[in-house]
Amino acid sequence: MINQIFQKLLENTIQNLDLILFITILLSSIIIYKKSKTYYKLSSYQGFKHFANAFLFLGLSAISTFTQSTISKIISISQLTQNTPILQIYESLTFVNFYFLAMAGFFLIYSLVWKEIKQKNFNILLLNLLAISLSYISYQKHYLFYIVMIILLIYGIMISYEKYINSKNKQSQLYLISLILITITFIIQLLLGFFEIIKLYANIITIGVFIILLYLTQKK
Amino acid sequence: MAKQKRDRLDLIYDILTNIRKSNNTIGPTKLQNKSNLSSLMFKDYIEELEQTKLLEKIETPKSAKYTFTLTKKGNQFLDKYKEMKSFVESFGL
Repeated sequence: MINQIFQKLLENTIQNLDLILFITILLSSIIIYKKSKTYYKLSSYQGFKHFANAFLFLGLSAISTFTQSTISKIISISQLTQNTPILQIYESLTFVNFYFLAMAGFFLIYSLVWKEIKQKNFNILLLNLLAISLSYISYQKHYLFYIVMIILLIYGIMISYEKYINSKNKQSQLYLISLILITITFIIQLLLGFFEIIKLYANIITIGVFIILLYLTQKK
Repeated sequence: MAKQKRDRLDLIYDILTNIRKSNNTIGPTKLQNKSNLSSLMFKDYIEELEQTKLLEKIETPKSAKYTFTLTKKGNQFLDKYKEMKSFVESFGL
C-alpha cells in the first residue's frame, strides 16, 4: 500500500517535473538563441552563430521530447498495442530526438573550437550526415548515443577548463560547471538506466543547468 | 607586462571607437594609425565593416579623398560591445 502511494506520488512529481523541464529548456533556448542571433547580426562573429544554432536544436529537441512523452501517455491511457500510426510516430520521434540533440551537441562543441579549426567553410552537410548516422545507429542501441554524447561533452569540458584557466573568468567557471553537470546527468542515465527516481534527479539537475545558462546570458 | 592580443571583436571595437571619438568622421590614414593596424589588416577589416554595414565610406565630391563614418548599426555595435564581450568570455566562443 505504502509502496503504491509512493509510486503514484513519484509518477505525479515526474510528470510535473517533465512539464517544468520542457518549459525551462524551451524558454531558455529561445532567449539564448535570440540573444546570440542578435549579437551575430551585429558583429558577424562566428562563435555567436554556432552557439545560436546549438540552442535552436536544443529547443527543437525539447519540443520533440515533450511530444514523445505526451504521445507515450496517450498510448498508455488508450492501451494501444497494435501497429497504429500514433505508435509509429512515437517510435520515429526517438530518432528525431537523437538527431536534434546530436546537432545541438556538435554545434555547442564547435562554438568552443571554431577558432582553432583552420577550415574556413564549415561543412553543415557533413555535420547533418554525422548526426543522422549517429541517430540511426543509436536507434536500436540507445546507450551508443549516450556514450558518444558523453565523449563529446568531456571534450567540451576539457576545452572550457583550458579557457577558464587562461581567463579566470567567474562566468566561464559557471559555464564549465554547467557542462560538468550535464555530463553527469548523461552518465547517470547511461549507467543506471531510466529508473524513475534517477530520471527525477537528472531532470532537477538539467533545470538547474538551464537556469545557470540563462543567468549567464542575461548578465551585462 | 605584455599587452593581450586583440581578437576580432576588439579590433572592430577599436576601429569603430576611433571613428566615434573623431566626431564620427575620420580619414583612412588617421584611422589606420589610431587603430594600430598594418595596412593589409586595415584594408581587410575596412572592407568587411563596409560589407556588414558597420561603417560607411563618404566620398569627397570632385576629389579622390574620402572619410569613414559610423552607421546606425555601427553605433549599436559600440553600445552592445561590453555585453557581447562578456557573452564571448562566459561561453568561451
